[in-house]
Amino acid sequence: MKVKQKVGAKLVVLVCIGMYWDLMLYMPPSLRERRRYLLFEVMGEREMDKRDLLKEIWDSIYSLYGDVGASEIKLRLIEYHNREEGKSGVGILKCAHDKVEEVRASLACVHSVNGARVGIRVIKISGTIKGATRLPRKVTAQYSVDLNSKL
Amino acid sequence: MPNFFDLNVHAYPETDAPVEELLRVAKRYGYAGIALTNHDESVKERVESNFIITGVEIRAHSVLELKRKVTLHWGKVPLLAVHGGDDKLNRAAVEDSRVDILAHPCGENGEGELNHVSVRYAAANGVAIDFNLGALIHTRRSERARILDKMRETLKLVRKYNAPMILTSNAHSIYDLRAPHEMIALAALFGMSKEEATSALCDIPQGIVEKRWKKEKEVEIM
Repeated sequence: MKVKQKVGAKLVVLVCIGMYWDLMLYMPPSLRERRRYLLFEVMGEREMDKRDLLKEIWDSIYSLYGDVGASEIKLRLIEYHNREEGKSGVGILKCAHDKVEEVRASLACVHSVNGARVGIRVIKISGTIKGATRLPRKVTAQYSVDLNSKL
Repeated sequence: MPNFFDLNVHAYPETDAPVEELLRVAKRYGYAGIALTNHDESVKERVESNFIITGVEIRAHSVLELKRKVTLHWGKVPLLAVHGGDDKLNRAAVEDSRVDILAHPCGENGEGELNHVSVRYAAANGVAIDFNLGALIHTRRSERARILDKMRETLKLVRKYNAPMILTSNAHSIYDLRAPHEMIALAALFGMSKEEATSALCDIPQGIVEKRWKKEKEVEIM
């Protein structure tokens, strides 16, 4: 009996902590940071690793805007995958809503990943991931952007 | 959607970028046209498309050589650019109204300089001053800082004398090309506003191709 009671008490405590934790994590929408999602396309000589690409993008941002500027940009790589043919890929980046032009300039300055020449360009900018990946069918066919299935 | 142009691209045989590949990538990026300006020799390969303008970029070591080459190529190619960099060559190029573009007046790596007299001549003769964004893509740190500084100074002069300016990639491969909106974002790095950058990619290149600023001069020569 006693053992069961102890376990029950522990569970109650855990549930309480869990609820409190949820309250702490919940951020009201008005206080959330405004962000933009950028759908981008990479064209390179070879297939490249997600980590190497992100490292190059960060290097480019540090080189252009420094540590302070990089912190203001708040860049995150949400998703990246190589296309089937291998030499190009598409991905989504997240950044602060007023730093889109800075991110664009930094992406344009990336000229090689792991010694392979690359060119990056932004296809679409949106306030939501859904908006960034939802393209008209014509555009989807042209750029072969198929992110909806992956997300 | 405005018509974007990139008027300084180098193709095969000077580089390893075949014309068809450049055409495909530039179309995908949303350009309305690119100009192939190989050094001292126009691209022989004929592509049946209004998209490609075959020009020539003249590289000279002295003013005399420059004059000679301009006379040689003028009238044979639709677009005549001069490989800038040296002070004297820059001056000679902008004084010649047959020249369409003074490419990278501050040199490909920011070693030259463009003074106010040259920019005034450029405005009078309709020679477009080119901002080479490829240099920003391929350099880092102190080198890039120097180039940005030079570009900022040139931009100040160009605004003052209202000379035509264009943004080009100076691409040597398909990976050096950048989409128009990325070019605009790069131009913002040295203080060019969005409107200026857009017109430097659309209206002014179109005007150069149509020789909008040259009409009176050509009548004179005829």
